[in-house]
Amino acid sequence: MGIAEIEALIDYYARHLAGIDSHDRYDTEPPLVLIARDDIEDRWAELSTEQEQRVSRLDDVLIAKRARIAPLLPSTLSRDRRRWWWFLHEGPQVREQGHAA
Amino acid sequence: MGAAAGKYAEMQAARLAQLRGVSPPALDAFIGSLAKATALPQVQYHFERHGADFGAATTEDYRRLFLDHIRRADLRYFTCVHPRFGSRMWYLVGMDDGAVAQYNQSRQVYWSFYRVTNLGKFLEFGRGWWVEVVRTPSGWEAKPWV
Repeated sequence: MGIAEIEALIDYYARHLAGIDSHDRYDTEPPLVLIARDDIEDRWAELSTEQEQRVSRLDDVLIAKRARIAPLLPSTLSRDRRRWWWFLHEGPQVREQGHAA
Repeated sequence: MGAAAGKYAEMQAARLAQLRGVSPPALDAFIGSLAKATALPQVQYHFERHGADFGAATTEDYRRLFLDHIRRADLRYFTCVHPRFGSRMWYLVGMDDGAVAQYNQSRQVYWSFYRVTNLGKFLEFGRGWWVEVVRTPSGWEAKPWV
């Protein structure tokens, strides 16, 4: 059921992240984005340097859009501080905190 | 999750109370009606966002996949009060392919159709605040998703 190709998974993350719009009345994208980001993390060892850089740039966008995501957090998936996207309701600092954890 | 867990538990309890206040025939009729839709509103908008999730080449392909999905007899039905909008949402989940049709009961309209990358995590995301509505020999029964 999952996405076999890591590049396709990153594309999914990018596409649904782009779908989070500040004036959007739809709510469907945030969980899809967070779960895709989690799936990428599960497969981080497969990423090329270029793909790591692309994900990092997308993470910048995720941080910028955190206000649209925060109302759906925390969740039962907010467990591991290294997976900082599950803690975006606490603010943008969670990314650095997660990297330091 | 601390205080948030309490908030979610309240939301789940409220949704359960709503559903348990619906007569069994009315709930049966409502769930039956979910399979009878003939269109996904704003289908072009949703196709542009989610068509690629299904490998759908055209809006018509995507629309057909949506209709096939909502008519499946083996879907699981989850529902919640949305924490941001307060809408009563339904998630019609295909357990074998991760396809999800989302219905906004408050607006009486299908809200979206998409595919998740990881169904286990998607369902985990709703744990503690969603309600599952399960068919039993005596009719549909609402149960907390815990």
